[in-house]
Order: sequence, then C-alpha cells, then structure tokens
Amino acid sequence: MQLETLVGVVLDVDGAPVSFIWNSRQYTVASRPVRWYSRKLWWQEAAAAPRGAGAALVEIEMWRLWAVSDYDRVFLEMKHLDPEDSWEIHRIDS
Amino acid sequence: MGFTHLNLSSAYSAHYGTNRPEQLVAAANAMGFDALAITDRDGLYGAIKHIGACIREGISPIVGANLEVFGEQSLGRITILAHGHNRGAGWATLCRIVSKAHQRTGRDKRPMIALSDLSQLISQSPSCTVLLGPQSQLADAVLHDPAVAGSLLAAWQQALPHPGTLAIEVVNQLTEPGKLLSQEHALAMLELAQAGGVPAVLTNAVRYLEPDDALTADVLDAARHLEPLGLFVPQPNAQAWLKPTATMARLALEIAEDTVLASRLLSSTEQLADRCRLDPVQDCGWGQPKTPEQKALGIEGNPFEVLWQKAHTAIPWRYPDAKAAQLAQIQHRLSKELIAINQLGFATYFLTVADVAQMIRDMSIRIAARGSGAGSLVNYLLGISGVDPISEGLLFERFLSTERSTLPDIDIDVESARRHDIYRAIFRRYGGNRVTLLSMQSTYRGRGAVRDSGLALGLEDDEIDKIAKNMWRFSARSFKKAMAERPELARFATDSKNDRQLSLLVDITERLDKLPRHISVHPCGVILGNSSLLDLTPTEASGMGLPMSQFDKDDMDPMGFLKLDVLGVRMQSAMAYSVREISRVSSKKVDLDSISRSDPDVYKLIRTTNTLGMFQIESPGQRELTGKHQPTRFNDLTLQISLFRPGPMKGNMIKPYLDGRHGLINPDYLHPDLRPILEESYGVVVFHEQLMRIMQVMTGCTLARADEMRRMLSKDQRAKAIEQYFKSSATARGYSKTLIEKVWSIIEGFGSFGFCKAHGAAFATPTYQSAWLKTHYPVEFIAGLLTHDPGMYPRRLILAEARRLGVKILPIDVNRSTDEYLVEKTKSGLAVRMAITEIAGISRPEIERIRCEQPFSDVLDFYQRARPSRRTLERLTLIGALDQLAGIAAENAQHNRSDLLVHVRAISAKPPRQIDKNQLQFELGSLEKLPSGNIAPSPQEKLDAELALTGMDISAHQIDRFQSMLDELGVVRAGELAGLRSNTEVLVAGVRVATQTPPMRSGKRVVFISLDDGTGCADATFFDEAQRRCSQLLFQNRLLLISGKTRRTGVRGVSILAENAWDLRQLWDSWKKAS
Repeated sequence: MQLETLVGVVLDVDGAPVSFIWNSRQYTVASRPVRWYSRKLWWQEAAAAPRGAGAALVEIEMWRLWAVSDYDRVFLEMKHLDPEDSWEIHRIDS
Repeated sequence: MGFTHLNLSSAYSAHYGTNRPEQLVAAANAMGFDALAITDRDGLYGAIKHIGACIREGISPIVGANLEVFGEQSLGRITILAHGHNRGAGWATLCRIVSKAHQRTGRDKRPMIALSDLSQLISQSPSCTVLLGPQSQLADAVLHDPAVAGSLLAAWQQALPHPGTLAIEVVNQLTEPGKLLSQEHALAMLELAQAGGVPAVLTNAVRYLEPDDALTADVLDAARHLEPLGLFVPQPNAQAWLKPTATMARLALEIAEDTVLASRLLSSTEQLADRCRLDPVQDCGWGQPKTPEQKALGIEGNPFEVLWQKAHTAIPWRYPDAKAAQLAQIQHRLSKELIAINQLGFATYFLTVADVAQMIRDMSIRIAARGSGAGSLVNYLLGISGVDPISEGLLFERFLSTERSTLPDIDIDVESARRHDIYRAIFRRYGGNRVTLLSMQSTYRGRGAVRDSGLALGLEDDEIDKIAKNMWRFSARSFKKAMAERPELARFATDSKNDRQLSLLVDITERLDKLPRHISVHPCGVILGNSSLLDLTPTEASGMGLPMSQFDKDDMDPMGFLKLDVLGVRMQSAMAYSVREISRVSSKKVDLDSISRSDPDVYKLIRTTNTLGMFQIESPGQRELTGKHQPTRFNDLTLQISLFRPGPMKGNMIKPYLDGRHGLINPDYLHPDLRPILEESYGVVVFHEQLMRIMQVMTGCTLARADEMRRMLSKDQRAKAIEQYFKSSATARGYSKTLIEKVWSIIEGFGSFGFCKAHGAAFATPTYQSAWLKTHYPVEFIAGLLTHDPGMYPRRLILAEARRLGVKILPIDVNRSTDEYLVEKTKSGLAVRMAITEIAGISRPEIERIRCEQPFSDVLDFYQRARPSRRTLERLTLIGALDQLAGIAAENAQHNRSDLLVHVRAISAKPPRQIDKNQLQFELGSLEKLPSGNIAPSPQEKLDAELALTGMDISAHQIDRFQSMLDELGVVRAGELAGLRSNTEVLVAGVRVATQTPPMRSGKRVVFISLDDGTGCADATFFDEAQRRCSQLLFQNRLLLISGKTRRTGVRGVSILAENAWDLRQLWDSWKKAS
C-alpha cells in the first residue's frame, strides 16, 4: 500500500477533511467522511510512554471518503498524523 | 437529554480496567453525570467502593457484573445490571448469579454461568437486566452471519422471557468500518434489536477514564494473556474511555443516522439507567450492622442481659483475689463499658466474638487478643483478651466510644497451624449461609509491575529477573526516582538511557502502580452475618476450599458486616508445641497464660540481648533497643514494643525516653497533675492513652471525647477547633498560659506518632511468654521454633542459636525423625532431633511412609518398607540419616558414608519390590553387606551436603571453614563486640541473616545488615557512602566480610557503622591462592 503525504488539507469544524491537493490536483470530499481510529504498535516504535502520551502512541485518526477532482473520482483513506499534524493518503478503490 | 454509562470496567476487573472506582466516580461527577455504573469482569470486586464514592459525590450508583455465559458452547461475555429500589431484590439476584458463576466443578475453574442457571435465577426474581453487548457471541454473529444472530437472540429471549430483563447493547468505538465495534456494527446491533423487539441501549464499554490510559490497558492485556504485545490481537484503538454526554449523543446520531432513532436509543438507555439506580440503604443494607441471629448464637432473651450476666459471673475467675476496693473499681469500670456497649447496640457483637473465642478455647487452641480490644474489661472477662486492662492502665474508650458508631475491631491471634481448623469450625457452628471468608486484592508493587511490564515488552526472563531483584521496597510509581537515588539501580539507570525497550519498561512499570492484580483469601478475616449474608455478598472459592466474599476489608464497615480477625500466629503454634513437648517428655503441665509476669530470670535473659526467638523483640533493631533499654518489668516490654514502631520512631520518642530512664536527663512532667500519666515513660508522651488522659485532665472532657479529638488531630482543619477548645477549657480550669502552650505543642506534635498502649500490651504478652519458655525450657522452645519457624530469620540461625545455648541438636535419623522437631532424652540430657521434612525434595507420602513404618531394622528394610525414591534415598544417605541404621555412626565403624552410598545406589538400581511375606529374601540378603575402601567424606564435605540438601549447616557453623583466614585478618566475633570500646576499627564476618531498610526520619535510606557467625549476630549499618561502595553485594551475597567502626549504644548495645563489605568466598579464594 503506497502512502503519500498530502498538502493543503482543509478541515471543517469537526476536523473532517473538506478538500486537499493531491498529485497537483484539487480534490473535494464528496461523501460523508467516516472517521475511525486504527492502532499503532507503540511497543515496536516508541522510546518512551510517559503519562499523558498514551493516546497518541496507541491510536491514529483515519478518514474514509470519496473525493472528486476535475478529472476523477476516488475512494480514499486518509491518515492524520499526530502530533505532526500532517496527512497521508492512499487510494482504496476508484 | 442526559446520558448514563451502563458498562464500565474499573481496575477491579483485574488485568483489564485501569482506573479505581473512586477516580471514575469523581470524574463522572465532574463531567456532570448524575449516575454511573460499575460492571466489573467476573464479580462485584469494586462495587462497594463505587457505591461509597457515589454517595460521597452525590450521584446514583448502578452496579452490575460482566460474566461469560455458556449454553452448548460459549455465548461470550454479557453484562448483568441489578435493578434498584426493590428492597434488595436486584442486588441479591446479582450476588447469587455471580456466586453461581464461580461455583465451577471440573477442570476448568474459570468463572462462567450456564444460560439455564442464569435464566432460572432471573425468572425467580426478574430484577436484573442482561445486556447483550460487543463481547457476546451475538455481536460476532451480527457481523458474519445475520441468520445465526437472529436465532441467538431468539434463544436469549426464550431464556429471559420476562419483560425488561433483556436488552441489546450498542457500542461504537470508531473502529475500522465493518469491524467489531465500528459504526456499521453498532447500527447492525441496533437494527437487530428493533427487529427482535428488544430494547437497545447505548454504552461505550468503558475500560479506562482517559485515552491516555489505553496504553496501560495494552500492558494489562498482555498480563492477562500471559503473552508479549504483538503475539495476540490487541484492543482496536484508544476509544474505550469515559466519554462525556455530548460525545455519546453524537455517537448515537452517527450510529443511527437518524435523529428520531438516535434519541430513542438515548432515552431507552436512560430508562434502564433509572431502573438500575440503587438505594444503598434499602438495596444493599448500607451501614446497617448485621450479626448472627440469637438462635445461631444459642442465646435466649435480651442479648444485653446475657452479656451483663456473662461478664459479671467471670469476675471471680479473672480476679480471684480481689479485695472490696478493687472489686468496686472493677464493677465501676465494667458498668461504664456495658452502658456504652448497650447504648451502641453492640451486645450481640460482643457475644458473637466471645462465642467464637470460647469455641477456639474448647478446641484447645491458644488464643490471644491483639490491638485496641485488649483495652476492654468486657473482652478480658469474656475471655476474648488475656490482658488485664486495669492493671496495665488501658482505656476502653480507645477501643470503643459512643462518639463513633462503627463496629469495633476485635482481633484475635491463634496458633497458625490450627487456623484452618478454626475456620472450618466457625462454618460448622454458624452455618454456611452466615459465614464467609474475607478476600483481599493484592496490587501491583515494584517487582510485580516490572515483571508484567517486561513480559508485555517481550524482554528475556533473566533480564527482568536481574532488574526485579534490585527493586527493593519502593512502589512502581517511584521507579524513576529510585533509579536516580539508589546505587544498586545505577547500572540499570545508565543502561535504560541507551536502550529503547528499557526506557519504555520504566514508563509502563510506573503506570501499573497500585492496580489490583489478583484476589486471594485475606490472611485472617472471617465475615459473620445473619442468614441473608449470601444475598448481600457474592462469594467464590478460596484456595483453602471455603467460600470467600468478593469484598475486602475496607468494604466491611460500609456493608455493616461483622469481620472477625482470626490471625494465625506462628509464635502461638511454636509456644503451644513447646508446651506439649514439655508435657510429653517431662510430664510437666505448663499454663503460659497463668505464669507470673515478674520472673527476674526472664528479664535477665532478655537483657543479654540474646532475644532470638522471642516474639516481637528479635529483630536487629529491637535487639539493639533491648541493649539500650534493659527492661526489668512487663510494662517495659509494652513500652519497648510500642516505641519501636514507625510512629514513635518518626516522632523521635526513643532517645528522650531512654535518657530519662537512665537518669541522663531529669524527666519533665510539666505539671503535678500530669505526673501520674507521664511517669511510666519519663515525661515522653508515647501512648494514645496518655494523650487522652492529658486532654481529660486539662479540659475536663470525657475520655471518649478525648479519643475523638485525638483522631481529628491529624486533620488540619479540625485541629484548629480542637486547639481552641483545649486552650479555652484548660484556661478555665486554671492552668497557666505557658503550661497550656507547652502541652498543646506536644499534643500537636504527637499527631499520628503515638501508639495504642493496648496494642503494645497485647503484643508484650506473647513476648514475655516466649522469653519465659526460652529461659526455663530452652530445649523444648528451640524444638518449637524449629518446627513452626515463627520468626524473621532462617531456620539455620535458630540452629546456630541452639549451638550457642548448648542445646544439643541430633541429626536426621530415619528411625527417629518425624515431620516435627522432637525433644529426645539422651544420656547427656535433653536434645532436639532434626525433622525429616528438611530434606530437599522429599515428598509428603515419603514422609508419611517413613513415619508409619518406623522403626526399621536395616537399610534394605528401610528401602523396602518406606519406599523412598532413589533421589531421596541418596540424599538421606548423604546427610547421614542412615548412619545409625547402617551401623556406621560410631567413630570406629568399619565402614563409612561413602561405602553406604555405593551400597544404596546398588540396591536402588531396581525399584523396591513389594514385600511378599511368604517368601524369604535370599537374593537381596547378599546385598546387605557394605562395600569398603571408599574414601570417607570429610567434615567439610558433610557440611556441604547439609547445606545443599537442607539449606542448613547442622554439624558445624558454615563460617568455621574460613576460620584460618578470619584469624589472620583479625576478624572479631559477634559475641565479643559487646566488650569493645566505641569507635574501634573492626572486621566482622558471617552469614547474612537479615536485611532491613526501615523508614528513617531524614528520609534517606539506611540499610541494616545482620551477620551471624555462630557466636551471635553482628548488626551493621550502611549509610549512603558505604552503600555506594558495595551496592552490588548488599542485597545479594550471603557470606560477607564487613569493615567498620563500633558504635556503643547502651549497656549491651553495640552496632557497627559499616565502611565497606566484601564477598567472603571471593576473599577466601584469593587468600588461598596467595598463601
């Protein structure tokens, strides 16, 4: 599964993606995005787990949605990285 | 619309939940919830703490349990909630269901309940609701096979036909779409409920308070699975936290995708929550004392009259020689106590405890009271306590006061070896419906936490072991702090900086701190209730077979349960054994409870500081204090035991007391009125009782009130009010301002430092009794100590003490040894025969066969009739247990132990034949001849065999082998230390027998190490710098050489201020090489 970093992600008040730029194209979210949380294997990656750091070490925010550009319509999974606040994306289906 | 969490696992779901009920309830209240459920896995372990917290926070408690259910196969886990406001019907049904789930026969003992049993219990009393949630088999089927899900639901509906007893639990933990606990899954559950006509409720299946705790939950999952993280399917994400109402409402909307449906889901959740709100008093009998019914106690009529009668008729028994004046005093005190007991309505309680005490005495088992209960004359007269509170100056009000209404604690000590017999007798006497054992939750401390954390991370066992071994007395929470401070962890601290896993290990270890780990039976608690006890507490099987409550000691008071503390004390067993041996061997009857408490020989022995084996005063610290204190009467023992407690030690009471006693300072009694109170302790306020009497004298308040004030002193806000009261009342009574200020500063400083004198006096009784036995019957007493091993030291030290006392120890002999240390008459007087149980690896059946078949005529006879395993036979040979039997014990014997070993190896090459009595044993007879010419083992080899096979040096002291080196080094013997001046540079050597790190006033850690060299114990103190010099040795090596300076602390008190320590064996090796 190829993950790519995204730029220019615009969010609504609930933190759901509204639009973003991918492969130099402007995409707009065209379905009700489904937010879910996947898990992280902190015991393989983390170097510390002090109090307060738990949630970010355990889970990761994901969005599943349809998005359209001027050229195509794609079914995507977007990964919101915390604490970097950056986004990764991969295409599930089109 | 409001919302209530109906599914919540607290930390009392062992290895699952991460937060204590008190934390969860406080958070819920802060979040605006007006009710909260607790539904722990497999029981109501945290329920009482939850209810108590809810009462304090002013929200409604809801209680349920999460249980596995099975039909033909497992139906998964479900949650059962008790309905409230039905006079306990829901609570009782829940208790019965949980108890039933724990009554498992067969090999699989995991708690689970048959659907048929669950169905029956709920149809008898339709006062619970079963929630079919995400851990049920139904939830799984919904995902994979909707048809199966439909038929499963139908089966549940059939089992629980009564309306309101079944609901479907809808949970959306935002997992990957389509998976368990996802939005899609929640919707499918909701639709199934609608299709089946079953109410649906929304929960979040909470297992932690905040998302951060999810990481802790991962570690607990690993501990539960007993597998490292990564080897099992972990929780899906960090969403199982206590979400606020708004978030839950939004989740409802996301699930239903429809506002009407969503609000219907929320309102049915609230309906069920309302139905399950408990009324603690009506439903659980909160705070209402429950004692056995009169008929169960065999009492007729008014219990108070019976108590009054019993107490009065016992006066001539306890005070046979009392004159009129003393009798008047006794009568007066008794009336005062009885009036208080009557006022509190506790007559039945006292009669119950007296009944149990009488039962124990009728079983010929030693019994003694412990704690503040010894301050009561009623307890003394009823035979519950053996301490005369009048002559010892103990106060009833410290024990029981009309100002408090909680049941007092009466603790009794019995022979440890008979404790289980007593428990069974209590069950028989009062019936299984009124009695259950108490449980306790052990919680994670440093070592356990690091072990389970290491397991979760998949660290090697050896590596975790190394770390755990150096974790010495600190809580998991302060792991990082300990790493920074303690020399023995310095290496680990450096390692963890460079190792990702070790650094993680530290963090997650800290997270586990104090979480409940597992439940076990409390070492001494028995709950005695009325015949509805099992409707109020769930029970499960304890290790010893008898049922135990799922509630712990802190739950007793809130539930109004009468808890009887029957503690097994090994010293009581040791003393009872000694008395039996005295009677068996010398036909003398000794009654320890009626010996004079002013025998000068007993105090003389105590003053030598050879207190090993004496109850409470054998520890290194107590030995040192004994040397300084030099007790001469019973009250001195009470004082000494009381002073050597964390409180008085922190309060720095020992030094001024000793200075006053030895005339180094003039005791300050402050005022003539206070002199009678403070005289016994040379002006130092040591006892709670003294403080109470000072308050009484200076303010004119009652003793009961004084005790109440004493208890409040530690609470800052209350202390202000007490100060005002004290100062104004004392002024009104004409005491001077300076005196009042001075006394108040003492009272204020006393805080929590004092000790209850009744407790001290109760402890001093077995102290004196054991000292008396050691003085007058040392052989029998040593036999008792060795048999029941009551103290803090290893058995081998008791052997060393026996050698020092000149008590002859006879070796293990298969013809004479049993499972106890018997006293034997020999030509040179009495001696103690070693027990056969000490051989490593010997089995119970082997011991039994040896005992039953004794005596044996020769080695072959022994082999054939006792049928020891080959290994046991060889071990018995190696340690000389067959020497007598084989005729090789004498100095001039033709053969030796090596010959015998060859012989037993030959005869045990084949398994022993069953003896056929009709057939002569020709062929084996020829083997009866011992070979010869093998090299006899040296005394050193014999000693090595003893140490290896019994852990004890029996024939000689193990330090003796180093003697040539020790002499050359000029090592001082422990017995000679008392004769040295202070500040003498010394070397001492020996076997480490005790290591202690007691709390210090300064907060710095001090390590006390005691070495035994056969002439006594040398006690060395390691401060910071010395600890750093030899940190690796301190907690691990057994044989040590310590250098330091002597420090005189009193007439017979000498200890060593350690400078350095070495491993004796290493020294020996290099010394031998050098010479």
